[in-house]
Amino acid sequence: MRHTIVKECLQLLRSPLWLILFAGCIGGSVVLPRANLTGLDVMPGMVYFIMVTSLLFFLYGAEEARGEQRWYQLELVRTLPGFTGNRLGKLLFWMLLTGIFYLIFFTAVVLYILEVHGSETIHEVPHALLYTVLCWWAPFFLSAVLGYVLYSLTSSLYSYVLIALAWFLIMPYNAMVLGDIVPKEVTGWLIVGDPNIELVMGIYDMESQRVNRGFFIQRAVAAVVIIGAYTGLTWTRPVRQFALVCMAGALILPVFSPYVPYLTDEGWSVYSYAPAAPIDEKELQYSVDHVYMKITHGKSNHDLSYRYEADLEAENGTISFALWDDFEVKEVMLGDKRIAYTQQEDLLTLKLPSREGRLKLTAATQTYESVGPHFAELPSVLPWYPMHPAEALDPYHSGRKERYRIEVTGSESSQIHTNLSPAGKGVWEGQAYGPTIFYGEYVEDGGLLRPAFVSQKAAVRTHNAHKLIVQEARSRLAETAELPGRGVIMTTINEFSANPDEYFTSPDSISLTLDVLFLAQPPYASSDFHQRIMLFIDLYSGDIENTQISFYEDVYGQAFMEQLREQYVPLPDEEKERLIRKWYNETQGLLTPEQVLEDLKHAGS
Amino acid sequence: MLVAEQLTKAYGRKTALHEASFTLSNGITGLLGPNGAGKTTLLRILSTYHQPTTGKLTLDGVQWSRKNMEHIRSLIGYLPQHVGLFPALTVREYLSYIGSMRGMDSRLVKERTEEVLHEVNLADKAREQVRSLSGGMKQRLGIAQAILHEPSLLLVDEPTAGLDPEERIRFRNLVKRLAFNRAVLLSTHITGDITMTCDRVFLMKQGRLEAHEHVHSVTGYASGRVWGLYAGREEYERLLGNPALFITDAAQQIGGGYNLRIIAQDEPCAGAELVQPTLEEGYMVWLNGN
Repeated sequence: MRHTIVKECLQLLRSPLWLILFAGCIGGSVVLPRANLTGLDVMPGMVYFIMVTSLLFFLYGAEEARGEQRWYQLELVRTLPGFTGNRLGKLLFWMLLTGIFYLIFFTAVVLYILEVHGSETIHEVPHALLYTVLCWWAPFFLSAVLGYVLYSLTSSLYSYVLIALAWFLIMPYNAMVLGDIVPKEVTGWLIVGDPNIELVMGIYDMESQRVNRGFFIQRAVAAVVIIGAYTGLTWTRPVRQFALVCMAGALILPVFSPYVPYLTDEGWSVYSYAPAAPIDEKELQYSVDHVYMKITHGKSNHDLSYRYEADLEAENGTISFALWDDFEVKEVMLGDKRIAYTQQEDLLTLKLPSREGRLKLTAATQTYESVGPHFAELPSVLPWYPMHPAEALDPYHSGRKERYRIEVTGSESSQIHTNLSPAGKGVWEGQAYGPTIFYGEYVEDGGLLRPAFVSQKAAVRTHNAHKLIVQEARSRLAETAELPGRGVIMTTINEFSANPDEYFTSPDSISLTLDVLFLAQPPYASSDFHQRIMLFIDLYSGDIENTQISFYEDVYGQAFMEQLREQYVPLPDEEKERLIRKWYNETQGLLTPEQVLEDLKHAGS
Repeated sequence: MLVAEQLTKAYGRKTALHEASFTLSNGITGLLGPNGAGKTTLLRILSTYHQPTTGKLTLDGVQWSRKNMEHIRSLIGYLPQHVGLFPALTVREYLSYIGSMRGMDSRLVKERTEEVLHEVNLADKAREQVRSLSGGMKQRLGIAQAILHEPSLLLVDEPTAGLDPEERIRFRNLVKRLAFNRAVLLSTHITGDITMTCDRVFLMKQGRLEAHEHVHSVTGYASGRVWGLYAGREEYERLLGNPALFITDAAQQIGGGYNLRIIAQDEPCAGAELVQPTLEEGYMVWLNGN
């Protein structure tokens, strides 16, 4: 084998064309996208260059096969005692060649980033290394082998058509083009490079450049199939039969694998809760306590399941919980009796055989966007668990404290952050407005929980921005609401949300702080309610007075805006503040244009 | 010594080799037959490139099996019809690599490389890349790799096709030298190669092999059927049009006439005399079913 590797090296070193192509590929891949090479967390953004390089290795593999045929090497080599060593040596050489190419490529990118942008993201090196081994080196190597196999099998110009097709199928673009024809579940398994072109720039911040178990399984499947094809092509029975059995086994594996290499992206479903229609008051007359939850993190796609138990006391035979439709309820029992339930429009309605008892429920999700193989963001304020609808609607003003005992499996305890106190390995308990469970690379510092990639400085800046909004609102509206003591920065929601103990926000947005803490929450999703809140906020912020913005005329009508400009804008600031406080006290922000116009008649008098 | 018993090779329903049994001992055995007769199939079986469908092979007392294939391969030298080359390597690197593939000790490879390079008259090309060699040189390099490990069985498949006359003669002499201490099976459809080099000859037709201990026994097929005569142009043209005759040679003479050699059952014309048949003529008679 050693001699074959040396021979292949000599052959390559005497092939200036390939050396130029490989060197040009590395140079081009660093120089062309250099504006985007800003940190070691941008490796997924190199996808286009990885695709081009993979195609180059496809062609290299094909050229190897073409050369073998042109120079009649195989007939001679097959009759030599070292045939097996020759074939394995060739495979090993491709492994080394693509490995060395990858290392030079990776080092060049890293050195460029460190030299130009400094070492701020150097902590990402291990992740970048593992990610690029699987998403750069693996496709390079497998492309070379597949190129060789395809040319050997067809040996004509059509080989290049086949190669183009194979290249297309195993590259991230397949999901983009075949997405409507072939299910993502299939295209996801085919991709050997970056997981999915739509996700490469990191829609899921916590998953960007992170390698999940599905990646490993997928690469193993691809390696077995492609190396199996090479083996089948090279050796005769019984080795060929063994290779075929392995290939068949590998191809079946995706059907049974609990881990998938991709993240499905069905839609952005994580936002603040609002029922589609008013809920019957009777269904809300219940309470739960002594909640026990056993949560299993699937570490694949958006997989999470749990068992929920709670002591239930209800005043009526039908009750409703707020629960995202993403969490599919499998079974509900009260005591030992299985009970009927319906689940629609983020509402779980139960028909109770008795008014109290131990409620037991199992639910699972494969679509909830705040769960990924490497993270889970489960805040107490959102109905990922059965929540009282009033609390889900307005967790700050309608929050209810219950006793919780939470057990989490499938995730490392050290990476779990919660609002409860530890009570053993993988177990937490305490009294809270709901359980908050964050799993992944988060850091807790000074009452702030933040993703590791967000600096403490940025987290404090966000916290202070919210604090300023609260301080201003407290003084202007004479309200006592406060920013909760514990702040959590999430990556999968943009909207501020809070209960009296915790607030949740995103790194980039400070929207809705005023709404959540100070204003009334509309009882259900209604554009009318939304518009009324908007009117108050626009008056509160003063933005509505900006004549440059024609948007308000579209929303509130030209007549209203004209009257507003004539009667409200000229008012002294003290009078405006008096009106805003009046409106707030009377409506909690659910203000109508009619009320504004009515009050303006008496304003200033 | 190679002993083959009842060798058969089938590709699906087509049988390329029918129950061939023969023995090969030291010296050159020619393998003669038309294109598609099964010569290359037989050589590929003997070179271990193909596995026979049925039959038994024994080389130097060792019976072939999957388990001892590496050992068997180390006893065989094979020059395929198109010699397998690595164009970017130098001649010396090429032989060194083949030697290592044959499991030879590196010092022995070095020694033998120099020896065989001299033997095939390529010593002055040792540092040149294989891609720069002429066709004859490549063929000689092919034989060099086949004898590098001093095999007891040397298989040579149509080695002189495409060589110029000088290269051909040089090659025949080389093979003759090599056959002093090993069995050589030389496949060809050029009868001159056989006449000049072979002690024995195997004839092949439609996958069936017929072994002849002496080249003369093949020429015997044409005994009493080869006629020689001198003919003028008109006579020659008349004979050419006779389907019962097969003209094997027509050498034009200075005076304008032709010295003809004709295969015919009976005297083709007045003045024709029976002459000693050549291997080619014997082979032609055999090929056309006597």
